Amino acid sequence: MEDDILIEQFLKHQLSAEENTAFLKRMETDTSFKEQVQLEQQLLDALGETYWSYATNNTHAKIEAYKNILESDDTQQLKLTISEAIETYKRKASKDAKTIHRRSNFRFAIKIAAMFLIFCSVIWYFTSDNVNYEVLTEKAWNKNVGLDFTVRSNPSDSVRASLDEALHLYKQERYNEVLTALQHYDTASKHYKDVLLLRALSHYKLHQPKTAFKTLDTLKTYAPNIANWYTGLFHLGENNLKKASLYLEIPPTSNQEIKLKK
Amino acid sequence: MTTKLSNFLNTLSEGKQEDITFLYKQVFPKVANFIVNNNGRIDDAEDIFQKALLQVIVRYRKEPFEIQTSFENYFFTVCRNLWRRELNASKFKSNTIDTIDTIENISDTDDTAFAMVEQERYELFSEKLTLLSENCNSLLKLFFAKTSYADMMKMLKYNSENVVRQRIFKCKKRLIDLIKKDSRYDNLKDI
Repeated sequence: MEDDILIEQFLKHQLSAEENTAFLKRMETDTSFKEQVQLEQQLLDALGETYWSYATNNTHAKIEAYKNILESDDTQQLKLTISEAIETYKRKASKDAKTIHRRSNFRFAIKIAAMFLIFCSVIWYFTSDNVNYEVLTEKAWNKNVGLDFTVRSNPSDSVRASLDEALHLYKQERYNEVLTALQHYDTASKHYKDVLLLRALSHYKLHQPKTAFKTLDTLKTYAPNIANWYTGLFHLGENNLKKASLYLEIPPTSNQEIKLKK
Repeated sequence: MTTKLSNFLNTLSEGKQEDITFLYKQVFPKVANFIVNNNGRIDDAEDIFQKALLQVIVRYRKEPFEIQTSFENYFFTVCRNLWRRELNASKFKSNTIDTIDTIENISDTDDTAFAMVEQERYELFSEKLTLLSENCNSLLKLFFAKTSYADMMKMLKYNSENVVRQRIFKCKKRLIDLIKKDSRYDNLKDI
């Protein structure tokens, strides 16, 4: 049998008892063969990942040299230095970790407090009556919705002339005179919707809400958007937010505008 | 080996604390992970790390050596081999107790000296293995991992087990020749 195969079978424990004895006997006498076997064994152990190739000759010059270095004061000092450096690092890392933990606890507390504050603000924002309805209502009235008939109608029209005069009186807060100036107009009249509007507004200003609402109801036939707009504003003026909201979109803050509900 | 690595090894071999700390920070987590996943505990990892560092520094002090990879990778391999050594120690002792009757009483110094030489031997073998062709390298790695010829034949698409066997013998011969030609081998062979 070739040596290669023989050595492989020996290392894999595949030789018979007889072959094994012969193999060991040859190793005792054949130095070159012994070296070959040892080297192959070492290769298998060292490079095979699962085992390890151990040294055993503690009288070898190389081992003696290492032992002398290892026993020297320098190496003993080195052992201490390594151990101390690692311990110092671990202590520092542990201290840093505690500080970070404490800091993160503090940050966590701050975050919780901030979140609580934001939560309270949001709740307050949506639940508190912080909207100045007077400001909103005033802005809505100042739009003078539907009172642009001076632009819309023919200036030579007689009804238009009365409406101009009535509007002038209305602006002067002479509401009774507005009603008198417009009393002769009926459903057959031109610009009747404008007449109805000025009447409704005047009744409202004269604190005659029932008549004002009733007039707006009639106006709804001619100009539903204008009628709904003022119905909402009248309710808002009477602090009836619920009813006003049926006609108007009322914003949550005073810096926005009231809009007609679609 | 780069100048940076050479400088690092020089200062490390002087026992500079910053270098030790740097290495611990960089490599210890990987070492700990390996050992904990291979039947060890974190205390074992600490022990192995310190032994490996002592071994590398002492070797470098005795005779500066070349490192062809990054120091972190090299150092991890030293730690991994030391742990392999620990894991196989009981098996080794039970196999050799008849021939080495003092093995149980081996001193720490002797054990460390042995470990250093074994690591040197491992480095010599590994280095020479990388000099072989890619095919030889793959075949021998499978052979040393005790893969059967039948499996190797299937894996590497050879026609017969005999062809695989012959190829391995040739590759192994080349590896052995390379090892024997290296001057380090004479100092390591009888240990």
